[in-house]
Parts: sequence; structure tokens; C-alpha cells
Amino acid sequence: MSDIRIPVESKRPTRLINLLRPYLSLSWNPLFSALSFCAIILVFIRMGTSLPGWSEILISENGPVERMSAAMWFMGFVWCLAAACVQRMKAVEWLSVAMFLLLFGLRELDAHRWATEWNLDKLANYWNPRFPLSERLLVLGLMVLPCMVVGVMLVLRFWKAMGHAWRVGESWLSHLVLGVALLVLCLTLDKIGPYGLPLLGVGESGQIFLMGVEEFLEFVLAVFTMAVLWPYLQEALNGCE
Amino acid sequence: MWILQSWVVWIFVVAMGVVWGLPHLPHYHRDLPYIYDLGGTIFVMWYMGLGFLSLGLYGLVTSFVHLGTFWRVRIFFLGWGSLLLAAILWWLQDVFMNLSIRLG
Repeated sequence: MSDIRIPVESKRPTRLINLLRPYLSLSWNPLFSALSFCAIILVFIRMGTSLPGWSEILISENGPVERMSAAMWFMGFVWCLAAACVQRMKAVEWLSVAMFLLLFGLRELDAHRWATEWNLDKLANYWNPRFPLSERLLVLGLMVLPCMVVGVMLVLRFWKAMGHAWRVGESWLSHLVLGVALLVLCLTLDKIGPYGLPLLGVGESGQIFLMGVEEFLEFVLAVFTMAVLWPYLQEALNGCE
Repeated sequence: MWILQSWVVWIFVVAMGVVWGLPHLPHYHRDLPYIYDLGGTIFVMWYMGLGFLSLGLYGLVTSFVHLGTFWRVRIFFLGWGSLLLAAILWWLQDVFMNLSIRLG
């Protein structure tokens, strides 16, 4: 009997950690994992920092959520660069993804404001004579054009794989669709929110709430991207999934 | 050691580094990108340095777990290389900070 009891007792800590295993690995849908992970992190920040309220945590410029979103994009950029160095056969794909992650990171840090002192998002600014022509051409040549070229190249490269993934029902295609949907939702809240909400009669507190939701979803998007890329990064960096 | 292979652990490390580590850096300031002429570049170097730091730590830690010798050596050097790059970036941000001019 004692021979049976000893292994049961020694397995107790293992059982506990095995209970946490689905939460710490990718067995959940990455979107739900990312959502719950971000929510837990927010609670940690609320409890562990001296910031007075949720608005300082969520919507404050250079606040914790903004900083974490940017850090996730830059982390992804660096890891994808490393994957491109190690997995030479897929270097083009890794470098293209890295470039997008870098652009997302720069956008999160408002690089368009401190680098050019004008908003790159506003199309009208590109033919506004108030801004130097050389600067506008530099932005078009170094950011917009490479982004478009890489985007087209990625679509062409993935087109064949997409058809196969659709037929077989591979998970990465649904992750891609979810990611794009989340990105569109964030952009909609970011761009249409400030103009559309007052027209709908939403008060200031409602607008602040939606700004907080938008920042939180941006953080979720960054974490979701990392979660989706993770098995591929693992495969590239240490040869195992 | 499946826990070290989980994204949750590494993202948590980076997130905590950003929330509690970054504000304790010597030149950190809330309005950094705007108060120095090279503030934006310094800001990006910090974040990129953090990315390399996480990759370096991952490389070193992963090289001790169940991998074949080839991958173990490879990721070990990748880890040290990343830590070196992180150190270079953090040294460069110091150089840039000294070259930078405070605005306003």
C-alpha cells in the first residue's frame, strides 16, 4: 500500500501545474488566451502601481497599456528577425512580417508625430504645402511604398497556401481573419470614434470609455499576434513546435 | 520544461519589464520622444533593446532544455548574440542622449 501512496503524494504539485497547463500553452484559442492574459495583466497593473484610475492606465499617452502594446510589437519584430536569420528558407516571409510588426510598433509609439511633426494617417497632409516636399517624399519612399511592396509580395506568397488552408481548414487562416477583424475594429474606434460618437449623442465619459476599449484591444491584438506567431517562431528558433 | 516554451511566460516578462523596469531607467521621462530632438530614436532603441533582451534570455534558458546538440548550441549563441545586441542598443541610447538637445 505504501508503494502506491508515495507516488500519489509526490504527484500533487505536478497536478496543480498541469491544471494551469492549458492556460499557459496554446491549447486555447489564441484570441481568448490573449484576451484573458491582457485582462489579468491589467488587474496586476491596477493593483501594483500607484496610478490613480483606469483612464491613466488605459488611455494615458505613454501609459502602461500603450507601452506594453509597443513592447509586444518590437518584441515580435526582433524575434521575427532572429527567425529570418535561422530559417533561411522562409527568410522573405519572416522579414516581411518583421517589417509590419516594426511599423505597428512605430505607429504605437506615435513615431509619425515626433519624426515628421505631422500626422501620416491624414491623406490630405501628403499634398499640404505647409509640410516640406522632401519630407513627404521621404515618408512615401521609405514607409508607404515598401509597405505596399511587402504587402503585395506577402499576399502573392500566401495566396497558394491560403487556398490549401481554406480547403483543409488550417487554423492559421482563421487566426489571420480574426487578426484583421480586430485591427479593423481598432482602426474604426480610433478614427471614427472621436467624430462619430458626439454625433450619436455619446457623452464625454462614454467617449473616454471607448478610447480605453480601443487601447485595450490594441494591446490584445499585439499579444494575439505574438500568440499566433509563437509556434512558428519556436519551430524556427529551436527546431521544435 | 514546457513552461519555458510558452508565450505567456515571455510576454509576461516583457510586459512587467515595460511597466516596472522602463520608468526606472536613468534617462526615462514620460514625454521623452518630444522633449529631446533625438528622443524618438532613443525611445525606439529602448524598446528594441527590450526585444533583444527577451530573445537573449529565451535563448539562454532554452539551451538548457531538451533539445538536440545542434539546436542547443545554435540557440545558445543566438541568445548571447541577442544579449550583446541589447547591450549595444542600450549603450547607443546613452550616446544619443548625450548628443541630444533638450527642446523648449
